[in-house]
Amino acid sequence: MRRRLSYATVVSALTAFLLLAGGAAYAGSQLAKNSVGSKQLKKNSVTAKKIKKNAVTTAKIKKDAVSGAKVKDGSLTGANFDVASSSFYHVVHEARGSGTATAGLVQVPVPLDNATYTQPAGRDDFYAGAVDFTFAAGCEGQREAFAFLLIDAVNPAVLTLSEIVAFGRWSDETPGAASKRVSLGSFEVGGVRLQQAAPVNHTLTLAIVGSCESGSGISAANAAVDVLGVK
Amino acid sequence: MTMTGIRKHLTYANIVATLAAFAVLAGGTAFAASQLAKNSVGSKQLKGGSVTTAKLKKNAVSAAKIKKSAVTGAKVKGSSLTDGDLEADAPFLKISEEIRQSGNLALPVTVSGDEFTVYPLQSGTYTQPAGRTDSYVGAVDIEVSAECEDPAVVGIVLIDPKNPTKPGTGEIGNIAAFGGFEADGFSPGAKRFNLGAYGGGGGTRAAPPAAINRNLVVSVRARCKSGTGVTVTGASIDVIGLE
Repeated sequence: MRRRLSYATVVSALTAFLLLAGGAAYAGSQLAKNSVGSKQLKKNSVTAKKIKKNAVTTAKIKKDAVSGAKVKDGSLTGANFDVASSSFYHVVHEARGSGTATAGLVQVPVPLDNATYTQPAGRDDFYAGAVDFTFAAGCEGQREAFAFLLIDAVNPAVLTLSEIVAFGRWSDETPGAASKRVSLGSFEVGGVRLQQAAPVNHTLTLAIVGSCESGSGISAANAAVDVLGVK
Repeated sequence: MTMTGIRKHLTYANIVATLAAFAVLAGGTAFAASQLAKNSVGSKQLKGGSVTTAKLKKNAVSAAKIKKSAVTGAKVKGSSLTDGDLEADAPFLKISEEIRQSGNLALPVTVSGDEFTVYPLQSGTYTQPAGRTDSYVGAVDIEVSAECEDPAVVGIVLIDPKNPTKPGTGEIGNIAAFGGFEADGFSPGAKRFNLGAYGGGGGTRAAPPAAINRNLVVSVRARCKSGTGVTVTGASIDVIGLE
């Protein structure tokens, strides 16, 4: 027996043991770079835990793979949408003003910044607005204030039916000073600008008129206009 | 061990055994890797987080690989979703039907008459589907001659009217859109006036339980303080639907 335990026998036996018993584990821990390809991977072996955080980039996702069912309910917000290009009814232009105007029997404009905009072809535009009216204590009795949103007014001092796109009114008989933010709703007599075949430039004017039964003192400030478009 | 002793052990068996052991220990890596059998690497063999971007093939992540509700808004790029990503009947207000008509129709002009004239539409009918609420806007294109002093023109869109030439008698609830144009000292020429959604009657048609065929009619009335010469050159209606 001792005669058989030669150097060759011992080394051969150890080699065979390494190959047969420990070889697989040994080889696994020492796999060469890029040696595990798609063929070596078992189906469904790449589970979520095996994927590195943020490893799934856009290019890895197949076109149309993300359906509504894959999106978590309630997780999408307006920020995910390209609102500017959307056909759906949404605010397409905002005009605001911080100045003040005094109302009388002849209509006057309330300062409004960003009052011009371009209506693109194929979009219907609607209009809404608001303005802060103030009746001074010196404006007594039945007192009324009106706000008109005019579009492309040839003469803003003259009310022209087809130029009115939104309208608001406040009437008050309470004595003393009073203030109220009055909203302008879409004017039902033509309060829309229907789509045209080519873009159209528009100018918006928020004009006010007012009257006191006696005295004076009606002013308006902080004009706001929203243009709402739909395709 | 002396050189003589070493030589004594340099037998064929010893040399082969030594080379075999060397091959296993030193070159075993490459050998084992090139011999990995198909489907031999399973989930257990993969380290957590070992699959990086570079390891994923382009378009490898198909629908079946994405878990339901796995994609949240935070994973969706800002402003990247467009109307095309939404289903056709997404519940947002949008233009559902467009009706267009051109062609000249000279209007009978009166000083104070209430009679309207129907501007014929070749295709004034459409189907309002179940579940969609419709509202209506429009525009009328006119041509006013120099002979018409202080023109005043009114246009309306009626839904399924019985008497479109007399909308003031029993048709108020059928007025869908309304607009007008009047101008003292108006310079003659082409003019468009818009018809806004009418709030005084039945300016909308609420979502029906079953689809309904609708007939839209454009009626126009013109007045001149003196003279004549108002011609309708076109009319447009947009049906704005909300599913």
